[in-house]
Parts: sequence; structure tokens; C-alpha cells
Amino acid sequence: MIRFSTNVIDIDSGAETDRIVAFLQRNVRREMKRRGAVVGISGGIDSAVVLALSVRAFGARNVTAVMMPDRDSDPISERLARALAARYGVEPLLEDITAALEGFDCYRRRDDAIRRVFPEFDAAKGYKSKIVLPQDLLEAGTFNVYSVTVVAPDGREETRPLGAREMLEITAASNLKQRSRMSVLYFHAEARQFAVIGTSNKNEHAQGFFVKHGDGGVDIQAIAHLFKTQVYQLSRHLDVPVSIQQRTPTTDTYSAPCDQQEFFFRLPFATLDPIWFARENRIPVPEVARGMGLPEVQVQRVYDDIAGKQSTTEYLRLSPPILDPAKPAYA
Amino acid sequence: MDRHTIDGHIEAALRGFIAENLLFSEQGFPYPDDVSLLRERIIDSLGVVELAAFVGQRFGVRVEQTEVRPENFDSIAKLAAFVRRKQSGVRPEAAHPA
Repeated sequence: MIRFSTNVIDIDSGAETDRIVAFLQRNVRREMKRRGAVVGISGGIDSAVVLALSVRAFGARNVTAVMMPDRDSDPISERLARALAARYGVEPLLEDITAALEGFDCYRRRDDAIRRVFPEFDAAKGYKSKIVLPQDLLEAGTFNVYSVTVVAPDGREETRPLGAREMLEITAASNLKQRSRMSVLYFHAEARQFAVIGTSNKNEHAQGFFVKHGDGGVDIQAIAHLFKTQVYQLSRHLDVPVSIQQRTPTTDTYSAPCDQQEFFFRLPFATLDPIWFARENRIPVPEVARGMGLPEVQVQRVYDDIAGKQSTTEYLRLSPPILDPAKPAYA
Repeated sequence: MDRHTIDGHIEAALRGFIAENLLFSEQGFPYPDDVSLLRERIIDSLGVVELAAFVGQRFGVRVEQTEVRPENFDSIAKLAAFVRRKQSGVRPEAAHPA
């Protein structure tokens, strides 16, 4: 029986690095018959760790790092990504996907949906937008119902609830970004006979914070078994630039600054991850509550939120079902 | 306000909407009215938004975002009670038709 404490998810970063490197080498080289790795680098902690692991697994000359900003990306992301690539001796490629997204009508489709909620919204005049979840998960049981926040050119912010149609259209348009990036990564992978290495962590993969056939469209997942706080532990062992370690995790998808907590997770990772670990290991709620210094009802809300997100995003992780090929309906 | 609501058949309308639009079921709504829609994974966050819009249109009540919470929306029984409270508050005449 595991005894719960807030550091229950601490890992042996050296041993875990060796395990992941061996996993990548075995699968990419032996199983997939690919020579190296393509990694999309965003300037965030997850892709930084995956790039570092890939360089350890295949050597810098067998790793291609690709930066894929669009017009909504924070310029800091590219600066951090360049610093990251330099740290590991990889020459980064820049692929601005703005023109591709304009070709898909991504921005117009998204902004038309936002304008149905905020008629005054006009990106050309400097309005910015993001979508957010309620941030009171511990304090109240709430549904994961999204709102849209618009930031006016003078800095005023206003948030309004999203209807189902608007939510679907904004999501579908925004997902064109991740799917465009996936296409660019596969171009570079196929041109070099490399594999695309996924950068989703466990929080993203298991709770459905990824785009099916977008950032979820990869050949192998390097860190999808690790909680975000464990990814930070690995980043220190792998000597990821401190500026990336200290950056607040961001979606970098919407034009207004939007961190991952307000967009999806609703809790700091330092709170979420130990509670999630406890839930997976069937540690009783009262013991977790004592260890976290939280009321039992709040721990239960986190348990329920995790279960709800895992269940409602199962479709994202589902491979296309195929009928039994041994039993076709012969004439 | 139609007779469906006035006659106290709010639950039937909710069950029908969820079965058709959220469960995509031809078998109706196969759960008791007090089952947790959230815990049983009958609705997700998008379903909640659709349900809130349906309640507003079908029963003529204004649903504030702050009211879209599990204590009001997490079962057919809770949602029907919520609709009745809203109707009695917003349109007192609807609760006691002449």
C-alpha cells in the first residue's frame, strides 16, 4: 500500500531518462526502421524535454527540430525555442504556418464564431481572444463549460459564455493549427526517414488536452506516461534552459495570453498531479486530503473532474475500429 | 408556455431531448430521473451547454451561466426542479395557470 505525501510522484530522473532513451531507440530504429527524430519545438517545457531525450537517443545530427509559429504565437516562443535548439546542438527549422492557416480560412472561421458572441470583436483593430474554463474547481463543483474572453485594444477584458455551436466552431477552426503542424512535421520526417516524436505529457494525453490527428498525430509518445511535474523534474536533469523551466505553461493557440490552467486543467499542476496519482493508486480520499491539507470534498471534486475528462475524451484516443477481417460477409 | 410544461411533464421533455440529441439513442433515456448525468457520463461539457440552451428555449426561462452547475443540472430530477423554480420566479402565472 502506497503511503501518500505531496512528493509521492517524485521520480529518479537519471533512471527515467535512460528508460525513455532506450524506449525511443528500440521503437524508432528497430521497430519503425527510422533513422532519427523530428520534434516540433514550441518554447515550452514538454517539447524541450523531448528534444533533449531525442538528442540523447539519436545524436544531434539525427534530430530535426521544427518551430511552427503562426500569427497568434507569442514571439517569446520562438526565442526560447532557438535557445533550446542551441543548447542541444540542433539547427532549428522555421516553418511559419500563418499562410497555410489563411488558406484553410482558420482565422475567419474562428473569428466569425467569436463575433456572434462579441459583435465588436475585430482582430484587425487589435482585439484579442481566448477561451477559458471556470477556475474554481476546488471551491465549487462546476461543469467544464467554456467561455470566451475578449481583450479590447485598450486592454479591457470581458468574458461571456459560449453557445454549443460557437464552441464547436472555435475549436474546429483552432484545431486546424495543430493539424497543420502535424503535416509539416511529417513532411520533414518522411523527407529524412525520421519518426515524429510526440510531446504530450500524461496530463494532456490522458485528459484529452490534445488534438486528434494534430499534436496527437505522432509515431511514438516519449513522455505521455509522465505527469507535468515529473516532466519538470526531468527538465532539470536534462539541463533544459532555465528560461523554459520557469515559463508558465501556455496554450499559445489563441491571440490573447492563455495559460493551460485557465484553458483546461483548472488547478496548479502541483495540486493536480499528486491527487491524480492518488486516484490511480486507489489511495483513500481522507488520506489524500490530510496529505494535501485540503477538505475531502475538494479532493473528491478533483477525482471527479479527472474521471470526467478521461471519460469524455476517450474518443480522442480511440483508433479507428475495424471489423474482423477474418469474417467478411462473403456472397 | 405549452401544456407539456404546465402539466408537469418537464422530465419527459428533458429525457426526450437528452436521448435524441446527447445519447443519439433510439431507445429513449434508459436511466432513472435521479441518476447523475455527470458521473454516469451521460452528458459532457458540450452537452451541458446544449441542455442549458434547450431549457431556455423550451421552457421560456433565462438560464444564467452561474446557474449551470451540478446542483441544478446533474440529473433529470434536479433540472426539472430548477426549471420549476425558475418558472415560478420569472413567470408566477405559469406555475398556477388559470
